[in-house]
Amino acid sequence: MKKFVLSICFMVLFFCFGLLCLREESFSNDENRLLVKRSFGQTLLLESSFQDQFLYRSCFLEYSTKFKKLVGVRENNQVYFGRDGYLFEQTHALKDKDKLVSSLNGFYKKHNDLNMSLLLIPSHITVRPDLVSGVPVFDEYQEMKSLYRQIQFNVIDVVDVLKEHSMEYDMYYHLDSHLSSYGAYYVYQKYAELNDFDFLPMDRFHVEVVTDSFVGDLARRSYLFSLKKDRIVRFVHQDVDHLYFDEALKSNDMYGYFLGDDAVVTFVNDDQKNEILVVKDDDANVLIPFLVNHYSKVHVIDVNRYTDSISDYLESHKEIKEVVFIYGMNGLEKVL
Amino acid sequence: MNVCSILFLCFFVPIFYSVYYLIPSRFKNGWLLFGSLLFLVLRSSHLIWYFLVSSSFTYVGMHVLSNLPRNVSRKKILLWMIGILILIWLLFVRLDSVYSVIYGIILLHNIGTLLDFKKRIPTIFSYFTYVSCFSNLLLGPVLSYFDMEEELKSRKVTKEDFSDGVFSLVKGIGIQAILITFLSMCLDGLLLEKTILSSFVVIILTMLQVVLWFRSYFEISFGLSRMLGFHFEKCVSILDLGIFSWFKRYCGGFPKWVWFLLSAFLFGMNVNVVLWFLILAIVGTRSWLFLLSFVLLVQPSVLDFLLGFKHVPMSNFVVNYEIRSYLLMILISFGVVLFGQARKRFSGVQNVFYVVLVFLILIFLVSGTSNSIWAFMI
Repeated sequence: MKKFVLSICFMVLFFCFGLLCLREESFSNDENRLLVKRSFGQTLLLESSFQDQFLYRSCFLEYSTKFKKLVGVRENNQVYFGRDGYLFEQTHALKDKDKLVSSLNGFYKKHNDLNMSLLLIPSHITVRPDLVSGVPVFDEYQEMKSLYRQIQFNVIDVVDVLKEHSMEYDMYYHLDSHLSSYGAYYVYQKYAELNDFDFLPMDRFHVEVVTDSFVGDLARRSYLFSLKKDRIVRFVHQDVDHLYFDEALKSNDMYGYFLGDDAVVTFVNDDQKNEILVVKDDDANVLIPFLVNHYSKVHVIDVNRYTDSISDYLESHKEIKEVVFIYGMNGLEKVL
Repeated sequence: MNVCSILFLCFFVPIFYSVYYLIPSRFKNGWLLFGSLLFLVLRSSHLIWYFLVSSSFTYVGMHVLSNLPRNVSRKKILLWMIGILILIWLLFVRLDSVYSVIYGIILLHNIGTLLDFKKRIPTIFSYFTYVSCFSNLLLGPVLSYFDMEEELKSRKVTKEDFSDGVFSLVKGIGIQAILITFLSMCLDGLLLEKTILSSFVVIILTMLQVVLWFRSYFEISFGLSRMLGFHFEKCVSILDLGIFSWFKRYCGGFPKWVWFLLSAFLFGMNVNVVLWFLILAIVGTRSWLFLLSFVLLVQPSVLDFLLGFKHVPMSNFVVNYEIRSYLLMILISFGVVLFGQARKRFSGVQNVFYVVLVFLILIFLVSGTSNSIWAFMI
């Protein structure tokens, strides 16, 4: 009898569960993606729509990740679960390193009158391997060094400086793969040292908390939405409001607060003299507000969004005397 | 419609069975036929046309065979009919190769009925219900019309049938949604690594996945049938693949390789599948070699390492990590294969286990399940 009652309960539960899949939402804020809408034309789409439209989808996704954790799995969607609420992006060998090297060296040969440098931002796991144990970690630092050896212009190694200060401040966010403002400050310091200008000491900046509810890309990918959210801070030295995009804080992509998502941006500082071109991917966004303090004009080109020739851009902006390529190691393949 | 989906478990099953239990007995087969046709339409619209054309032809064929004049050879006509059924099948399966297995099962149901049929012709309604019955289709062409005839005419669902059925359904879907998903994730990681250990583990896990796959379909089909009041669970065991039982039953007189090649043909005419069935013809279906041959077919890259064609390390950190991560689920999978078949008396602990299992199934149905190694079969 007990078994019969339980069987009825299961059937009722299945049906009630089905009813919770009947809403019509078009976007998931937690996952930051479009949801499949109900369509009766194709069964596969209909099945996906029920998965996507489930009322407590985020909750269930999180439970599935927690169950995986419970049975001993240490990753979800290529995100490792670290200690103290940290999530880490997996690192991989570069598939087409030679192509990147030859294109960068080729660019340098074409513009060898410019002061050119390459700055690669390591992944969080390379800087804090102690926060995650028992998982296979690709030696990204070796890869970075071997790449640097083949580059014919200046290279800037920031791994040591990030490691050195990683115990004082969080160089990266807990739930996001990007560099935090503190990490960016030390990268800027290293950049200044190697380019012979005086960097501003940290006490000259006013550190402002912009938001304390930042859910990064790693939390979304691993479905761990209820971990302690990150704080986004900004380092303010002068009037730099035009460098930040407040609207981004109301959206799902809060990291867009730094620089937004334009392909080309130019920042002017009348107190300085030289002009610099920064060719970068998303990882460098947080660094730009520091550089603005030292150049009369900072031209920023987002390599993932800019479709024209960078050489042509330089031709039309003869005043640029310095070029820096700033890429995140994990995003390098995208820029090829 | 995939059985391991919200559409099937949370809409099709509760609605279909609620109506089934509420309507009077004389309408039950009609509702079953309607539900089965809906099940086919939700897979593919071509399937329903194939079912109608092929089953109608078979039904007309039975009438023709029963009214044959004495001077006409029954065997000759039968062979012609089978030929035409295969031609119809070929026509449809080329249009819709994704569901070739279901097309094959319907074909075998029809051919089997023509071969089994002696004098008495079933009603078109109960014949169509037999061929399309969704719980039967999931099992494969194991049962002939005449095995089911009695229960098709009249059957009763007891409380025990219903609860056994629900629990079996939950178990079957649990195996697919949880265990097979975890094994697939582990295999995905291991297949990227080229070491001797990963090759061996890939072989073992693929074998395990094959056995679990058949076990899950057996449980789902058993459960859905019991809930309808059918009792055919004693006819089959996990490794008694539907398609092989059919060929054994109807083509026993032919050399083994002939019916294995025929099976390959039915499974989609893929070179890999033909190769697998040839291996099966040599090693037989009931041995562990059957599974091994299947594994080598699905994962041919492991052969290179096993035969020492390439100099590869024994293991590496990634392989150890993958095995360590999924060890618990691998052990549970082995446990299900070794001890899962025993049907013990219902206890309070089982109660709790099934409640947890149901919640886990719902979680994994929302977050997505995976069974990548089967992509080549369908």
